[in-house]
Amino acid sequence: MAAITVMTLAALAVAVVGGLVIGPTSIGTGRVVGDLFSHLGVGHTTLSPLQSTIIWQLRAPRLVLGLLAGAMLSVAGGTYQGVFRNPLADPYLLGVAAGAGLGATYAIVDVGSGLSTPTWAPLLAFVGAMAAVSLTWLIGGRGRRSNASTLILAGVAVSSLLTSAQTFLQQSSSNSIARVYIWLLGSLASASWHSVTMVLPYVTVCVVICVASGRALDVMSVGEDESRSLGLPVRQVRLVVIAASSLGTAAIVSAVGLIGFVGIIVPHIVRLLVGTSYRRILPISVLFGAAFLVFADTIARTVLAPSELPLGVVTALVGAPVFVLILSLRRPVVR
Amino acid sequence: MMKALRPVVALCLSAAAWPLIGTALAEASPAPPQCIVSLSPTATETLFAIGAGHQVQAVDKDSNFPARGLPARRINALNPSVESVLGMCTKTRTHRSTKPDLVIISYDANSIKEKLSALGIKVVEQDAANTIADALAQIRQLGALTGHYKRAAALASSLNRTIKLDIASVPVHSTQIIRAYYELDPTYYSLTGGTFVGSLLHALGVVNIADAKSTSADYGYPQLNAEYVVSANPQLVLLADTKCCAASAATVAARPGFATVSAVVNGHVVGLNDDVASRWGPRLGLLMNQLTASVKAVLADSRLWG
Repeated sequence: MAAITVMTLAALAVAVVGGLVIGPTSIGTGRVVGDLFSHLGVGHTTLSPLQSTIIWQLRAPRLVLGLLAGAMLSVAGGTYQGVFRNPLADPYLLGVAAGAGLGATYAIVDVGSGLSTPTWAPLLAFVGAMAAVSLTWLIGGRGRRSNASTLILAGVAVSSLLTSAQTFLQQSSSNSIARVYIWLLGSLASASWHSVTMVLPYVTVCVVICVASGRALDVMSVGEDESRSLGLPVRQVRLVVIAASSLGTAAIVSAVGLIGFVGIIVPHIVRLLVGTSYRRILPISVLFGAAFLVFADTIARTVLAPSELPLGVVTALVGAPVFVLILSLRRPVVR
Repeated sequence: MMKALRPVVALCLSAAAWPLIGTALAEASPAPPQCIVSLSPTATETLFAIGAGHQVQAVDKDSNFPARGLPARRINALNPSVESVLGMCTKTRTHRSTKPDLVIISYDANSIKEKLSALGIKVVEQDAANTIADALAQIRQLGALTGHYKRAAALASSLNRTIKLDIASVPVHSTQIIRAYYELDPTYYSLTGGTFVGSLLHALGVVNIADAKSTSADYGYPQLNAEYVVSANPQLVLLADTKCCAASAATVAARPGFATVSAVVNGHVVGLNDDVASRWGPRLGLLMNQLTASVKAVLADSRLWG
C-alpha cells in the first residue's frame, strides 16, 4: 500500500509539473520551475509578463480544475460501485449527466429565455444534475422495498427521459448544436480561478465524505441484509454517500461538462493495484484520478495544438487500452 | 463542334455574363413563383430585399430577418420533412395547390432536393459562398428565379460598390500590419483567409492569426485555444458570437490571460452581429462597413504605431 501511495504521488507530481510546463507556447521547464520557486521566495523569475500570464492565468487554473475534476469523478465512481455493488456504476448512474446535459443545453440553445450566457450554462447544469438525482431518489430510493437495484432502474428511467428532452432541445436549434456537443464532450478549456473557487468547497467536502465512507462500504459489500444485521444503517449510509457523490459530481460537471470514463476506469485500476477494500481504493482513487485527468488534459491540449481534442475522447482513448491491458493481466473483483 | 461552343461556355462561366444570363432567364421563365419556401436564412434575407418577400410562404427556423413580414410557417432545415414542405402554401386563384413552386436550400438535408424534384418541385441549392463573386451571383440568381432580376442586379451592384469603396478607403502601410483574431464561438473556433469572411479581412490588409494554424482538415475553420490567442497578441479581436454566446469586450477582458492582449488593452474588441457575419446576403455591405471601420480604428490608434 505504501509503495502504491508513493508511486501515485510521484505520478501526480509529474502530472502537475507537466501540466504547467507543456503547452502550445514553448516555455522552458527550468524557467517554469524557477518561477514556481520565486513565488515561494526562493530566487527570482526569468519569465516575461506574457509567459507569466500563460502559466498563472491559463495553465495553472486549468491544472487545478483538472486535479479537482479527476479526484471527484474517480472517488464518486468508486463510492457508487461500492454502494451499488455494481462494477458498471459510474458517477452518472443516477441521472447526473442527463440532468446536467438538459440544463446546459437549455441555456446554450436559449429557447427564448435569454439565458444563453456563459454564466447560466454551468448554473443550470448544476440545477439539472441535482434535480435529476433527487427525482431518481424519489422514485427508486424511498419506501421499504427500495434497494440498490430499484435505485439503478429509476436512474436509468430518469436518464432516458431527460436525455430525450435534451436531444429534442438540441435539435431545435441548428446554430447551437456544435456548442452543445462541445459541452457534452467535456473540456477544461474555460477553466479560470473563478471556476476553481466555485467548485472547490463542494469537491473538498464531498471527497472527504466519500473517502470517510470506505469502512461502511466495506461492510456493505457483504450484502444489505447482512450489513443491517451487523448494525449498519444501510439506507442512511446510502443516502449520505449518494448525496455527497452526486453533489460533487454535479459541481464538477457544471464547470467542465461531461467527462466520461474517469469515474468508471480509475476505481477499477486502483482496485487492481490495492485490493478490494474501499478504505484503500477511495483515497488512492483521489490521487490517481487527479493525475490521470491532468495527463489526459495535457494530451488533449497539445496533440493537435492549438486545436483541442475533447477531453472525454482522450480519457476514453487513453483509458480503455490501459484498462483492457490490466484486465488481461488480472481479473478484477468487485465486492 | 466543341471548339465552336467554347466561347459560349466561357461566357456562361464568366461573372460578367450574369446580367445577360439573368435577363435571359427572366425572360425565358414562365410566370414567377407564387409560393416560395426558403430553407436558407441568407436566401430569405435576399428574397425580401429584392421585393420577392410576398411570394415567400414558409422559411426555416433560423430565418429572422427582416424583422417584419416573415411568414409564420416554419420548417426545421436540419431535418426537413418532404410532407411538411408540400403543405406549406395557401391555395389562391393563381396558385391552386399547397405545393411550393420553388424551394431554396443551403444544404441538402435528408436528400430533400432529390425527393422534391421527383415531385415536380423546383429546388435550388445555394451553398455557402466562398467569394464575393459567389455571393453576388446568388443574389442575381434569386432575382432571375423570382421575377425580380432588376432589383437583384441593382442590389448586387450596390454591394459590390460598397465593398470596393471600403477596401479602397483603408490606407496601405507597409509597416502597419494588423494581427486580428476572428472568433466564431467561445471555444476559440475561428476562420482563415481561405473562407468568405476571411477573404474580406484579407482584402483589408489584415493578417489573420488563424492562418498560421490551419490545416486542410479544418476546411478553413480551425479551433485555436486561449493560450495561442494570448501569445499571438492580436491588435484587433472581432467577435461573431455576440448573439449566440453573449460575447462582448467585457467578457473577453474577463477571460483568464486576456487582460494583457493588445486589442483588449487598447479597446479594439469589436462585437459583430452573428447573423450578419454568418450570412452572405443583402447585409454584406453592413458587415464590410463594420470590418473596415474596425481596421481603420486600429490603424489610427497612435498608441499602437507611435
